[in-house]
Amino acid sequence: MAVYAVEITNRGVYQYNLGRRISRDVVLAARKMGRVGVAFGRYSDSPERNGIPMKWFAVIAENNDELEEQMAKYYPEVVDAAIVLDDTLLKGVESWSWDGLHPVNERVKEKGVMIVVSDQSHDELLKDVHTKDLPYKLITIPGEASFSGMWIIRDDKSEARIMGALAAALPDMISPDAVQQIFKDKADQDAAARAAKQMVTRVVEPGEGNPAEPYRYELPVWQDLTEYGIAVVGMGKGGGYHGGKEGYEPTRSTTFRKHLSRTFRPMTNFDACTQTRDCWLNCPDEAYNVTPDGFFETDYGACSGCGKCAEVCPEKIIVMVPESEFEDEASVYEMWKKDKAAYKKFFDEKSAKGWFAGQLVGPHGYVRKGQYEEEIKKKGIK
Amino acid sequence: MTMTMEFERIRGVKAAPLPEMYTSGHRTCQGCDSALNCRYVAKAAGPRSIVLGATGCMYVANTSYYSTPWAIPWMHTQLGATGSAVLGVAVSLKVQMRKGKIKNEPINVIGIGGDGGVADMGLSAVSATLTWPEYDSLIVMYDNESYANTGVQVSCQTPYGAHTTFSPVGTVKPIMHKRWKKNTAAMMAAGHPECRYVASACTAYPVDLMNKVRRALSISGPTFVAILCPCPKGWDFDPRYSHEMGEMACKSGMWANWEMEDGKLTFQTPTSGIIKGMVQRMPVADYLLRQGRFDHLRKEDFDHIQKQLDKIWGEWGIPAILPFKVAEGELA
Ligand SMILES: Cc1ncc(C[n+]2csc(CCOP(=O)(O)OP(=O)(O)O)c2C)c(N)n1
Ligand code: SF4
Ligand SMILES: [Mg+2]
Repeated sequence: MAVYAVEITNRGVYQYNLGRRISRDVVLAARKMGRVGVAFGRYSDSPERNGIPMKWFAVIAENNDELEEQMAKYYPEVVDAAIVLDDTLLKGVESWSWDGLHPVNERVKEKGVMIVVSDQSHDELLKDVHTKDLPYKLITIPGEASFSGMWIIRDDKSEARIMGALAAALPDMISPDAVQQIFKDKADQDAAARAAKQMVTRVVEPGEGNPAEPYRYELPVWQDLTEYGIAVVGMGKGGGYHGGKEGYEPTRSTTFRKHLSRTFRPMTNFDACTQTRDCWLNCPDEAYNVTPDGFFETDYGACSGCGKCAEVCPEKIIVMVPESEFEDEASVYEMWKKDKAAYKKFFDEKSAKGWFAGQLVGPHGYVRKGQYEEEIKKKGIK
Repeated sequence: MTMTMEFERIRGVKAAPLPEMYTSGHRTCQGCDSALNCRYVAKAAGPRSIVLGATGCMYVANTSYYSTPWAIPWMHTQLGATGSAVLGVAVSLKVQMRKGKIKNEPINVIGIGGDGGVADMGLSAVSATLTWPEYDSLIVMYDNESYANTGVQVSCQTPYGAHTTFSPVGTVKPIMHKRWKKNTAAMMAAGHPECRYVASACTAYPVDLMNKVRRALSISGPTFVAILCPCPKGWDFDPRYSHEMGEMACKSGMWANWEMEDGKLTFQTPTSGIIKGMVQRMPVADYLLRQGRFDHLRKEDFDHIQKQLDKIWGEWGIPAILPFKVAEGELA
């Protein structure tokens, strides 16, 4: 009996189509090898939302009976391959507020593989990936995270490249030949073959990786329901900054924190801040604290990294820095308060890798530099 | 017996109240202005408020498995039931106060429903609620221009030409959705003589929005506010631009900010500038081109939409609100 399972972790909406297509491709390739399979998402991820991590699955079996046995489960307990479409997802996944943070390699079985699209080194990536007590292989495919957009798929060959790497890593599950067969387009076939050569593999030994304990919490279970249902305790009304008398800090949810949606995080250049309050007022995630001296401090547990604050700041002093640049969620306001010169250096260093308001660099995939100009020309509007 | 709450007018961003009555814990998209709208409404209304929320993103995303972002009492109601739920709670509070079961004090009763919930499915119940002058309530429609929660389907608030899952783009027929957006707020203002206050606002103008919510809550009887909330998932734009998207909707004339109180209509920025002829409407193509849902439009489609807007602003009896005028010679 040969049963295989693949899990794809991707960003909601931006990578929804890409993740779905890969899960289907796995099944299509398996069928070329005379196997059966099924591709599916999970209820707890729906409806998907911009940026919020989500998963797709593919299960493959030799025959229908075997497949049906697997389908009795909500989703596979262990997977042969975990595919991660964005390296900032390596910090973990919290799909609904079920029970806390789940490491992205949680389900990878012994000697299984985890394929990540990333330009970073394995060692750099392992600072984020939680430790496991089993050995597995970490494979990187060089490239930036692909965000295909919800409606408009601008194909960058990520789909074919991931399939090519998957087949090269686990040829018994899906053969490189089967992958060549599912793509009709020569460019896709070439991309798949190329990825097999470009991928970089490294064995991750037990205990290697981020040793932090993933946070957990207990929530009521169905047995706690009464015949009247259950009332959820409301949020607190907040209070002074850090429990003091001045400033303001809202009560923040401990059961859904939103920080794992983030691919970029905002950093304020406090030296240049004129305290206009725009970042605070326009934040859809209530992520800003008001400090006693009238500054606005981002709470990185609550910030989803949308980038609105950077866009609305009239001084244009908020920079959005790639999330992979950070290992913790410490307050940069506190850092600035403690040592302004050190913070300036830190800010300059990080902001060199980030983007400020108005810079069309496509942090969430949709906006390419010059895209509007191209479209206006193409459509002959002006 | 009962009375409505009195509020101070918020004069500028720096005067916006600090306390959050709607805070973190919502599983909404990055850059979701519908969530931001909840924050503004709750902030403006303050702690002595009850919120009834219809099905939609602002129910589903806000109630992820035993989590809530609300610091004030909130209860779910059915997709089409915002009006009924609001009226029921307002009546109940009034009766309990009259019977002395609870303290006689002003409590804000606010219904929050989406465009699908309020302008399509729940229209009759909302309309009915607006005919009961003796019960104080506010119904807020957050208009994200689609049934966003269920994967973005067409609603009667979806603009002409937009791509949704119910109006896919074809090669033979590029535009599937050819109905002009319904003007729900104007309909509420025109059709309910006992409703003293109706307003239209946008999350890109938060101070105006919060003042409208406060005004609505301080006026007796049922009131209605429609709020345009850019939706990065449904409109397909980068979430960092949701503020800009709201501004552009207003500046291009796709949305208007106005207020009707006791039969008097006023316009607010940037609509007021357009009405007075002080600023030009920006070309609508600039706004539409920024969103993936209009990616398939051709030059003739942009021209058509622009022409419609020119008519709405140039020829209507009341620009952006009432399409008709009294025919010549009909009035003495
Ligand atoms: C009577 C009924 N029909 C259909 C649904 C499925 N449904 C759940 S949310 C939703 C979308 C509601 O759209 P809208 O009111 O615009 O809110 P949004 O999701 O856009 O925030 C639908 C159709 C339902 N819950 N109840
Ligand atoms: S789909 Fe739109 S309204 Fe719903 S959570 Fe996402 S951005 Fe907000
Ligand atoms: Mg809607």
